[in-house]
Amino acid sequence: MAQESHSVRNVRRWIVVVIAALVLGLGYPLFWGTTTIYRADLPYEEIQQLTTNLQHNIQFRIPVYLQVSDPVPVSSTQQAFNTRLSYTYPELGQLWSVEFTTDSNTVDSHKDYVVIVKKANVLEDSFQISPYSKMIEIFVSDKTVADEYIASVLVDQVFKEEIQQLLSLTTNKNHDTISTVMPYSSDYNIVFSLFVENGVEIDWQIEQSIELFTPILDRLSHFANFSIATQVQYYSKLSKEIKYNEEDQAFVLKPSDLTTFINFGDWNLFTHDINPTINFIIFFPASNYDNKPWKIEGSKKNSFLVPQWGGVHIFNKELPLIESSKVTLTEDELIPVLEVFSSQLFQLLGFVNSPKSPSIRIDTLSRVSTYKNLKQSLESLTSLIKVTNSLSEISIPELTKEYVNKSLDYAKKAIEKVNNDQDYLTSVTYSSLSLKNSDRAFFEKEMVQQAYFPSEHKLAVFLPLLGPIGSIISIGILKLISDIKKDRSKAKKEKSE
Amino acid sequence: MKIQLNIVLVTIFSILTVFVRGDINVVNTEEADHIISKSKHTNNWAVLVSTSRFWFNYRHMANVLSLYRTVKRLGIPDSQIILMLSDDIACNPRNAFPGTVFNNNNQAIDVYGDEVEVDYRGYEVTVENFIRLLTDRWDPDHPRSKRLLTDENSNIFIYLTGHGGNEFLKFQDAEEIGAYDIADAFEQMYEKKRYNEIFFMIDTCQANTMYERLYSPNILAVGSSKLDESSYSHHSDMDIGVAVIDRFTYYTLEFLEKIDKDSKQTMDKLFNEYTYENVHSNPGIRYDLFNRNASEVLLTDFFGNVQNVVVEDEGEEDILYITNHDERGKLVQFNQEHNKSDESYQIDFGYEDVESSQQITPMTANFIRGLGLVTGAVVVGLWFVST
Repeated sequence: MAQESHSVRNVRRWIVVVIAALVLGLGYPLFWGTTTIYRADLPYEEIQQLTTNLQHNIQFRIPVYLQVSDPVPVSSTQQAFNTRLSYTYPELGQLWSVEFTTDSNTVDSHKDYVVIVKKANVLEDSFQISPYSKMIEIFVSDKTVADEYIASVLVDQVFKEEIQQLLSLTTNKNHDTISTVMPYSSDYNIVFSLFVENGVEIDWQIEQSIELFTPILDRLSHFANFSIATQVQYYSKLSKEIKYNEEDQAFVLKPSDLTTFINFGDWNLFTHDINPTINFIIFFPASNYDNKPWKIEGSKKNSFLVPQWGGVHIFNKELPLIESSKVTLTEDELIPVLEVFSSQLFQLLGFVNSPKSPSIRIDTLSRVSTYKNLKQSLESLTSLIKVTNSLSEISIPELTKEYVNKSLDYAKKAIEKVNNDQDYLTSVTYSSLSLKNSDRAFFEKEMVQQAYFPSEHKLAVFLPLLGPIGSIISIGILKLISDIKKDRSKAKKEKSE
Repeated sequence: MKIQLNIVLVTIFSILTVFVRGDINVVNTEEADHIISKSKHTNNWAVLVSTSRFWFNYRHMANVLSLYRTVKRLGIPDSQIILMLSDDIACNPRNAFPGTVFNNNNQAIDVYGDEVEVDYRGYEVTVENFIRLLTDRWDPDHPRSKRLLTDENSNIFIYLTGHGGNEFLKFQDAEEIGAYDIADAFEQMYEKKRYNEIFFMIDTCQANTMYERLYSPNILAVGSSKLDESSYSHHSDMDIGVAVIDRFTYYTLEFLEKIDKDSKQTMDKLFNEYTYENVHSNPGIRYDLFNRNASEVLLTDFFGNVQNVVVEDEGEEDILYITNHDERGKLVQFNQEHNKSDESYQIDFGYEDVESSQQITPMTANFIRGLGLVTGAVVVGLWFVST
């Protein structure tokens, strides 16, 4: 083998070094940069802290104004109330309480709780909660201590269900039963449908009648947006034939018939919207023309409720109908049905059953929903963290982090509104925004796990690419090293000689 | 003496165990009587997926369409069924009966007949879309009908059919989903409370390997064949020219055809159909993730939509009256009075527009322009150097 010249040898060595450096310096970063998964840092500790301390961080202090004929110090009423509350619900802690203030007739009972104590010659102490406002009137005789009685009325009557709902939320007890309450959303559709069994034209004065819902929905504007729609559908048959019962002189629907009453296959229900829909259905049977009524077993109102879905009423026309003339369901006929629907709406949205006053119930709903939303939002964030920790291949985009931070911000704002301003209406809105953002964080489009590949698949993909190049480069480097070593030993020998 | 003592001890012990066992038995049966295990769900969803392409896979499309027809018949609304159909065999040029799909050679039922709403068709049926569907990670403008909008009250029936192997299922002749991918997707669903219970059914070769990696609770899984076993078709239609249905699915359908919307038939009766004689492979059932016993699970918990209803004797009757009138019985005009007085909680819910145009990395317009100029200069320079 001819001896290669010194300069050629040097160039050859340089080429090997440059290529190796290029592969390592350019190839590896490129490979690393294109194959690593972006994982933004999520505020783990903050989420954890908020989650564990939620029950202690949030403190509901409801202002109650006292109107007493002879001035009594508020502190004694407050003390009586606190004793009663901690005695009845010892596990409540600092989460919920009432703050009494004396009132000089200036407080609007539509906005704030007002307790009016009247001394009267009554045999038994009594109370009355106004159904129109947040006014509670208490009648006591001269002998009884008013404080005790006020405390018992508030704890055991006015706020009873509210406290119980909050407690069940803190202890996670509500998972065993099927809940009627719709999952919370910041937007709902309410759809009133008239399903007519046959094809005879019918008219209903629904547009005038649903105006009656405006006051309630207006007062729920902090809770959610509601959009109302109505529709009439003809030839809406039941999936099952109902038999005429001679004894009752009616078509009788048994509870077992109701579970599959709604004909999802054939009826044109409102299903195309992303937001949850609350369905209210009036079913108008063809037998109305034969003057044969329908009855739902066990229901005086001829209606039933489908949990988390809506309500159904079966309409019996009182007067006999003539098939040739157009039938109209008048406003007067519809109002009793709409009353049923409004009561069902209250159940579906999670209102408490008592007291009667919508003002108090909306208030209670606001407080309970604030807590519920915050809890759910933090649960979502916690599960997001769990998922990202357990799946190392999933990417965490920057947007997810943004939404997480936003969700935490809104959660803090909601807590602040509750604790500092006692503003329970704004706090629901904030808690709802927190919930929305936590969902967005979890459902961020880019956050999709790379498909799982077994390691032998990866080897099979990369080996044809890296094998030939890698082997040539590594052999070249080995050769280079051995050459250098040979040269050195040669030089040493020459020196020693 | 010692031996005698031993014998005595053993007898005492065995008597004791008999007693103890007897006790446990008594408790168990009593419990079983009391706990009529009721599913806690309020809504039902179904995800039906066929994953293979081409005419000779006619049977996979027929499998899925038959199950679609069945769950719809049993009451799951179309809006709650996600149908993924990987090929359009009804309009395949080789179809002797254009526009139809039959699942039996008697050609009694055209399963592609009326009102079939296919949510994902053809090349939309991909691994990514399936995973996205389960975890609900989509663009905000993804249509509602193509989304699985379940919550913690939903029971989901998931059916997959196609060509599978050990721990994978092939999608579209191009890619495959692994058992790990499905397991991780289910775990994410569980963490986000996207289901109450899942019934996972898979009819492919080596199907049982697909559910073995699952680790999230409340999942009942069945597969048509074990590791290294093929899953077979039931029969061919000589006029159509290909096999029209798979054995496992055939016997599932045959059983489901006999039940009604509000049937009280339980899951174990369906499982009894899955014998080697019927299916010609060894179907597997995985119970360990599931809380309830198959004999207590109604078929309608997954295949139907039986709703618990509340019949009230008397509800409230005056909510609308109260909210529309004041103490004196006068009609109240809430609209004007209310909106103005409480501005504190008039917070705008519609803030999406602001967020959708958000910049993640803040850059000024000048910076972007400069970057463009530099890039242009580099490209032109490279061109000069190369010529």
